[in-house]
Amino acid sequence: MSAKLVDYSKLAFNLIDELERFRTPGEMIGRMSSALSQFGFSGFLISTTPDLRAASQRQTFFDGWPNNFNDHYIENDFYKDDPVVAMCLRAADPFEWSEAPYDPKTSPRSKTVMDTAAEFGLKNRYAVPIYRERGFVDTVTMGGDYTELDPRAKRSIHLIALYAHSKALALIGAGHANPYRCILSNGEREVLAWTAAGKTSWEISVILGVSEAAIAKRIKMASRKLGSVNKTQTVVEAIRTKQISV
Amino acid sequence: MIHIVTAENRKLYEQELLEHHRIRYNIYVRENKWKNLKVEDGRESDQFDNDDAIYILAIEDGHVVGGSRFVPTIKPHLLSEIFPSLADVTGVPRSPDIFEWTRLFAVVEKRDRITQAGSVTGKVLCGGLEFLLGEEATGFTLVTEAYWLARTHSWGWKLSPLGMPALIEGEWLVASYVAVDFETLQATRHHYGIEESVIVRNGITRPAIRYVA
Repeated sequence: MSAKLVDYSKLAFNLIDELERFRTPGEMIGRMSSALSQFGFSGFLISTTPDLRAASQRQTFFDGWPNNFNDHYIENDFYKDDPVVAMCLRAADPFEWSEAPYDPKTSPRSKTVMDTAAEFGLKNRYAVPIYRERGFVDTVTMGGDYTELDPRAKRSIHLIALYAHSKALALIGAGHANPYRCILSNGEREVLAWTAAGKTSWEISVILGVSEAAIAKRIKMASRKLGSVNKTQTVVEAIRTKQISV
Repeated sequence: MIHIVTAENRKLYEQELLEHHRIRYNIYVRENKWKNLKVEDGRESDQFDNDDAIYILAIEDGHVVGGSRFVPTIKPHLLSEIFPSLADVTGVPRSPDIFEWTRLFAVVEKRDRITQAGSVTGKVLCGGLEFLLGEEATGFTLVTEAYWLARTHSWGWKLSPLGMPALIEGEWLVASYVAVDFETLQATRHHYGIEESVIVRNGITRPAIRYVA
């Protein structure tokens, strides 16, 4: 199949039209992922852009990355050395990962970030910085193992990113004073879902094949995001905000 | 307060309109470095500053501090004449009850980094929406920088795209249609802490919507 036959504007318009009807983040992530796969992307992420000076983690809105890459990214503090993050903070226009410069000799950690992403199936990424009010910058990033993006595809993705960001805010923001603070990562939701099912931290660590300390860390992060005081309340809050179901 | 200035009551606002064109020069020519604009005596204008244009002016203590311009889409306007390629998917919407919203500004001293109750930007936005609703318009079109679009979300605006974004003179521009209803006005008012009408009308003006045969 020739990529030239793809009507990129039609793809974008159909998807934007559909965005209106989505009622849950899960619905939107699923449909977004399948639409973006037609451009050669294997996933996407909608998040804030971490402020490097404040050394704060990014807040994830919608995690559509494959293979739990976002959890890996968060647990390893990749944001500090991610050249794409640095680029997002100074670029007003969309850009490709390859345009975000770094020197593997002076910043070996940056190379680790890039190599790890490639291992997770995200060799290339396309990032669209989004400027909100009050000087905040969000990012919509799409990634995959594609080699090259058609210029018309880029315009189409740009438009999709603008509208998807707005829809993500609407879906998550409803009923929250500060939606940026309370979005759980996939890994956190996974752990809370097993906790809700009555599993202990040790049992979950066996099920997911990670250390008990990693489970405790995810629960602690989730508790901080949801403003809860203990594990039970964290689970209750996660259910109440519809981030997990039982 | 926000004043509505049309071809009919323009005589009452001669000084304010001159001041508005001077501010536009400072903002669009000097600050934003837009090209292809008409500049005369330190005042900026373009071919759409004609009798079809309707201005809304934010006036405080006798001085213009913000404003905007509406042009009927059934007449020549920015999207139809200069940037029709930005509406390459849906075509340029043209209807008596749809206006094009352009040149939205607040003077530098009145721009807030944080959203404050009663800010000039908020008044201009609410004034514009109130004007449109009062004239029974159903919506407006908008040509903007793509990165600018996200802030319309917090105003509760319902956007739909008209075409693909395009890189024009170094800026990614995008054209949108925005449907206007009472909820839109209420959402924008809520965001800016505005609770009541901000509009003042002086002189006699005809309805802005004119049907052409």
